[in-house]
Amino acid sequence: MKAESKYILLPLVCALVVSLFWILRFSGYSIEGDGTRLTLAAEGINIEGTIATSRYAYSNGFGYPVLIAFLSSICGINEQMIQLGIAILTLVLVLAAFIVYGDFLGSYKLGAIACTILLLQPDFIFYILRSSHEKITWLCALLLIFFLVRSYKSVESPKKFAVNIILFYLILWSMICSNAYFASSFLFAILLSLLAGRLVILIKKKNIPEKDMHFIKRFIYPLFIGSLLIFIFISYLYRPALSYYDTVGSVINKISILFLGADKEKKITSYLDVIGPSWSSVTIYFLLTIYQWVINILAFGMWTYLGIKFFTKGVTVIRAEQRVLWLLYFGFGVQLVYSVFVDISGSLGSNLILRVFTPFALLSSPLAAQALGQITSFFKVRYSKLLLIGASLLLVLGLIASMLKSNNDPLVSNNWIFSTPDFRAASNWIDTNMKNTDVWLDLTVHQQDVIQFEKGYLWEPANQYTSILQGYNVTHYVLSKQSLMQAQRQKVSLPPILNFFRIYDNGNSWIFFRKPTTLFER
Amino acid sequence: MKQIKKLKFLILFTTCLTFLCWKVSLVAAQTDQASPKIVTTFYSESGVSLEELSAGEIGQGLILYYLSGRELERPSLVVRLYRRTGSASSVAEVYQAPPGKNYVPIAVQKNQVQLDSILRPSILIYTNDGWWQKKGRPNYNLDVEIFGPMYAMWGAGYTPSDGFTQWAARVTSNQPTVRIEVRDPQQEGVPKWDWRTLLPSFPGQGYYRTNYAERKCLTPLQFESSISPLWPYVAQKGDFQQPSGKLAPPIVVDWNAGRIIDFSELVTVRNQNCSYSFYSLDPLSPNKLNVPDFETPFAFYDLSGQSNGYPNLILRTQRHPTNDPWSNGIDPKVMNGKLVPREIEWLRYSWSNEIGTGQMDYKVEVLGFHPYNNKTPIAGGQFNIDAPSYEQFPNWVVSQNWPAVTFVDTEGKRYLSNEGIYEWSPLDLGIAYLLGWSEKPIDTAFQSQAQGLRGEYRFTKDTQPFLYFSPIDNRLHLKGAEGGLWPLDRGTVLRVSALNGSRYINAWTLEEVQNSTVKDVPDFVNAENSQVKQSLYALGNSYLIYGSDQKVSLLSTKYASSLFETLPPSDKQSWQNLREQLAQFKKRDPRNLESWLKAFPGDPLTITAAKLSEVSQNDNGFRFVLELLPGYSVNGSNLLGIANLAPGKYLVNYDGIFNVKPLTSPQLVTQVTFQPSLLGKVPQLGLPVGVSVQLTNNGLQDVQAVSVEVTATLSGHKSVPVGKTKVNVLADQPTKFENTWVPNAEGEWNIEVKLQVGEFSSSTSQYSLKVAPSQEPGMEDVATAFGITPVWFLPIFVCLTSFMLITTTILLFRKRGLRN
Repeated sequence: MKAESKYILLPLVCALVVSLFWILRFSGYSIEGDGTRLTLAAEGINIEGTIATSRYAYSNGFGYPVLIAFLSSICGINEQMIQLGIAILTLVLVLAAFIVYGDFLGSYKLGAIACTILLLQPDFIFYILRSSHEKITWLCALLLIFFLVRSYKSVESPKKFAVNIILFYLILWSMICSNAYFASSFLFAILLSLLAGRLVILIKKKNIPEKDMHFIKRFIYPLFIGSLLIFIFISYLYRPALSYYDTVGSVINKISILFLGADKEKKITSYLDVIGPSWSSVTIYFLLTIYQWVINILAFGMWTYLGIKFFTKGVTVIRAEQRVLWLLYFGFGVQLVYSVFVDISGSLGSNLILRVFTPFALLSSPLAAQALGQITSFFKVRYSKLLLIGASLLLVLGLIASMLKSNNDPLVSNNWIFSTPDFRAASNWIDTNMKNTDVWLDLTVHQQDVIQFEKGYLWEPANQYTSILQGYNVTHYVLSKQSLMQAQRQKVSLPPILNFFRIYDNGNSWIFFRKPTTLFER
Repeated sequence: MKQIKKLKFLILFTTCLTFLCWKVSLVAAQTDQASPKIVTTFYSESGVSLEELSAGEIGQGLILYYLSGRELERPSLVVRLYRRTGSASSVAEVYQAPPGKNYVPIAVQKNQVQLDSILRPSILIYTNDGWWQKKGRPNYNLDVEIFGPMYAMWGAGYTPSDGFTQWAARVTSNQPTVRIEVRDPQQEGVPKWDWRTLLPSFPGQGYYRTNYAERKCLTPLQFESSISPLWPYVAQKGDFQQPSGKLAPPIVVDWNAGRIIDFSELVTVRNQNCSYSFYSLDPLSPNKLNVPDFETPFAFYDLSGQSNGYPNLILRTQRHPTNDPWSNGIDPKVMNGKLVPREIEWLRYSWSNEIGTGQMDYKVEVLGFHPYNNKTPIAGGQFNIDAPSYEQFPNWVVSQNWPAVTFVDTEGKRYLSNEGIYEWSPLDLGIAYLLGWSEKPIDTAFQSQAQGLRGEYRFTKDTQPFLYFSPIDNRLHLKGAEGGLWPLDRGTVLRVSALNGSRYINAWTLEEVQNSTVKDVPDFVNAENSQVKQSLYALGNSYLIYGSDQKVSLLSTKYASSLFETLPPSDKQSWQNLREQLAQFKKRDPRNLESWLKAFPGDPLTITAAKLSEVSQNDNGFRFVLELLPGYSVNGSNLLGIANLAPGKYLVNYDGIFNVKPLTSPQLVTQVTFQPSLLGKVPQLGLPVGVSVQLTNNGLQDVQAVSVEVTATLSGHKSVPVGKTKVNVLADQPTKFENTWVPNAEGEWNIEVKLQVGEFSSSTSQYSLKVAPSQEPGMEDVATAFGITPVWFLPIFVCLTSFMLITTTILLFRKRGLRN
């Protein structure tokens, strides 16, 4: 272990690179809707001194806002600044992943490769890097899997076993506090893994070690206790979570929220629909995500290979940790497939594939790393300097692709997550100089999030802001060169501003005022 | 024979007598039901008499109110009076029948009355003076608490069939509902102000939470007697509102049911000579300047000083301060959850030219956006509100500019109202238009009016609500009015309008209307479909032109635009002046417009077998189309010199001198210009393009209501609408129609302008427009994220990353690669 610990350097360097890129790429001016809401929740906690703040409380859990509020208090830096630099916490996730994967794969070298693979997947790192709770939620998920496996391994030692079980439930509680609905969906995936385990026991009754049988049977406890904790959290401990649950209309949506951790408030077009119209070149899209595809093919191949080995040569030919990994991959895989169907049907419209993909990537990465290890040993690869330079360059390319994709994804990342100083200046101008006016603020809600983020918890908007053209009585329009490009890219209409008064112009952003034609228009 | 006659008479007489007796008994029964006989009994609980208790002695006792003939233990109402030793105040607890009973359950034993333990008082009345009645004068320094459903505030409601409605239907039996404070500081037996607060919060419900009424002048009052004169607060019968010129006891009971229905207003809002009142949907607080909304103020004035229970000036306001949470109720469909972005108020200013009788003669209703900035003390100085005071209010209204104003003259029609004249509010234009959310008012605004009421409106000028007296029809008009309507009967209306934006009405048309019924408003006449029968125009202060089916008259004369101008009366002097000025003139006959010419000096030119149409006024003069029918004849002054013209249509133009030309047909010419997008000089995909259509009429005849439709078509695709409108294209004035269109595809677009005049005549013109492809962000835009990051950032970062990773990989994996 000690000798292998140096391999942590590789994923740490990669994590440092991606987090710095995320922070520096837009000179710190990148924030999106969830990030804004969580910042306000954190600011509210510090201002009001309570986790259930009177407004902007994050409905799914208070864990992440509490962390930001805490960091802000002890560092003496405001919550906004903490959020803009929080991507650096990815390093902590990588540290945890290194230990977990090393344990799973029986090799910390492969564990380091698995961690690196994790960072090559743009649809994973977007959620981990952005200023949202996922980096904490999925860190908890990783640790939960770790302690689950550890408890399996330490079943003969009651003391160790008890410590692992206690740690498991403490981490589970942290995850629930971070996002109760994601924790719920995580438990569902465990349930699916349990069912898969039961199925295996039914098929291979005789060849299953007694320890495995007990383990599978014991799977039911975390499920039951976890569900109870979630119920207590939502119903009694954290009211905003219940009010959120109550706002969800149909039973199917309620179940989906619990099963997939879906976020009802986000009405983003399904990921499947956005690739075509949003990326100016589908080829570029596939080039940027090619590593992700390869990784998942490798992982699936490895899972199939292990499965075949499992059923043909007996359960014990695979290490115990890998048997758990194999079952969990199945559970999360089923969840991912289900989310694909939900996204295609459009019933929740919440871009579920991406949300479910994050925990799935946590399980597919070690399988992909194991596959790489198997392939290289099968072909008896010689590790010449040239090969290592080539591999490093491939890694650089993969990281760059991953960073570019996660930073520039035009729709999934909520429509260009950066904002220009010029646009913010225009937005500030209208908020300072106009009152009680209906203002159209760019094509998407992104700019409203940005201004809200900047102004903070105590901000009372002077005007009503919208991004909708129809049905609003808008008199002022704020747009920029960036908006024009975005409108053209997405083929959406801009407001008919041509005959309006241009009352503000800073070279890159403009404010237009609809000419009043009656005594009553303002 | 005689006997048969006698018998017949006897039968007839008996029948009539029987019928008469039956009718009398029926009326008597009804009277008995409406005013049942109530008897009272007093039980002293401390040995003190009712007289002594009423006068403020220490002690306790019960007044029991019985429906005549009811058993001893079944009173309809019970009042317990007491004053404790050492206490300055007297208290009255009023009990009504509990739910499920029609009497107040009591037990009477040995001259002692025991109230059932389930009973809770429905009304608690306190007086700090200690007495209820002295020298025949009731005490009106009262603090009252109401429990459970009762019509104790405006906006509650009760019908015998449905019971309580509105908020009163939503409260439970013993729930505190209303707090009332009534004061008579001089102890004259006449309450001076009455302050009521609704106690349950009813979140989200637009109920009145504050009622306030203050007596502002003496009204001769007739005092209605109470059942027990020694406790003068229970009425034999009554209503929530006090009758005009009367003061009735406040507690009104359904004696058969044993239920209290009303705790009536003690200072009436509407039915006295003068009052300063308001109904606010928001509650008020002491120690701050309150901003009450809704009907604040609601003020009543007696400008004559001689009235007898009726005001003759009523100012009813509806006011919503900026972001008033109740403003969504103005029109929930249109407001759609939004709140008014600025203070808005509309005020009905109705008055009578006579001493108040309930009849209303005129109304000016104004709508505008003036925030109140006063500090008016009310309720004896306990509270302050931002509304203008009673004394300031009429002047506050008439001295300000208002962008939307209506005027109504009842023209002698009987119109009894204690809230003013309701018809024709500026709000009819639609709240979306008035808040600036829509460019056009509601289509049907001011297209119908109640029969007999003459209405006028203006909404394109922001001025004071001046009225003027027109010498043309000898009537009062709204200065600056754009138009008006006066349904003379179900089939005839007199419409007025101001040509060329004149500040004075200069066109009157008597029209025959078809399909005049207005759904759900039987008294209203809809004038949307009408045909002109007579018309009269007063143009350039020197010509009057009359036209009918067969005759056209033109009179050169001199007249003033108005004989006098005035603001609506706001005090006794201005009311008296207006009254006297109006009395000098006799109104002209609205059904015979030709007769109006006779009032003016001059020899008119009269053309028989001729028709008048398309009258318009411009800055230089005026013009009209004269149609000379075969056999026409010209009499009187030779103003136009048309005696020898052939029959046909002629354009008569006046710009200092008359000029008559044969009318030529309209010739519409279309010209389209394009204005490209913000980026670059050519129209571009996805960016707005300005499409401006100019229409010129090269003929002499004006064209009314030309339908213009602009569409854009890309070859092989469906047409896309660009714009649609209806315009008038006058002979000498080009008209522009501006549109903005966002092309959704690149290529050669065909822009088509289709003109439709009437049902059949149409023309189409086509223009070509090339739309360039969309402009993609350049490499620099992408690399620098529109200038946020420096150009060198990406290459430097990539180089550093490569260096770090290559070094790390080689260092870590150079020996064994992935092998363990």
